[in-house]
Amino acid sequence: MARGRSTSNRRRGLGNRIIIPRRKTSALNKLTEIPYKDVELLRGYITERGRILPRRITGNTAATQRALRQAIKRARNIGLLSFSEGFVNQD
Amino acid sequence: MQGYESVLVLDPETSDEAQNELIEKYKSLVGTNGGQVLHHAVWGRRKLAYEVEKRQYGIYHLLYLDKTPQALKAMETSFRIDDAVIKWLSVAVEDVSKEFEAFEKLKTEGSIAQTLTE
Repeated sequence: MARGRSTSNRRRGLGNRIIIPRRKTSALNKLTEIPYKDVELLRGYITERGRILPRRITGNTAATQRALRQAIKRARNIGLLSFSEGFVNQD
Repeated sequence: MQGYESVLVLDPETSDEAQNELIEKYKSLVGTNGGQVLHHAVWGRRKLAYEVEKRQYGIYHLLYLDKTPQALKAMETSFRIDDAVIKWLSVAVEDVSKEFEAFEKLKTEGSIAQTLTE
């Protein structure tokens, strides 16, 4: 009984969920390697806050996502991308 | 040809002569350690994505080396000592010339983001 109720609650909850556009495949999958110096390209795969978008949204294959993660981290290391954005120091 | 690609970020206040001097210094340093600098590219002054020791900008240079680990190590030791180098990253690459050409292309033609289609 309790289980049935919780399912129906969750279903109702789904109606209010914010829909994130999902791509079924990603153009990056065609690349053999991902250039870490191409900031403009990498910007398309991070959020406004600077976080890496998950695979379920970008549609990357596992191998591509690993390469992308590597590229983004390299770009962050040399100051091409930020580690986080929108943080305001309140002191 | 396998090798290394090093990205250096220099202090924005480094003069052109000082930059050339530094690069020449690294070239000779790599030479004395049995290596060779195959290519050198200047990316120029760019805004940093985050502040590095109160600096908003950095001057980017790229050095392409052949695969001589001792030479890379000696150069990186020098990066640590030189105050003008604020950041650097060395990456092993499969084909040095290909990487250099890819960078030149990125620099002149811009991002490959538009050329990729679903």
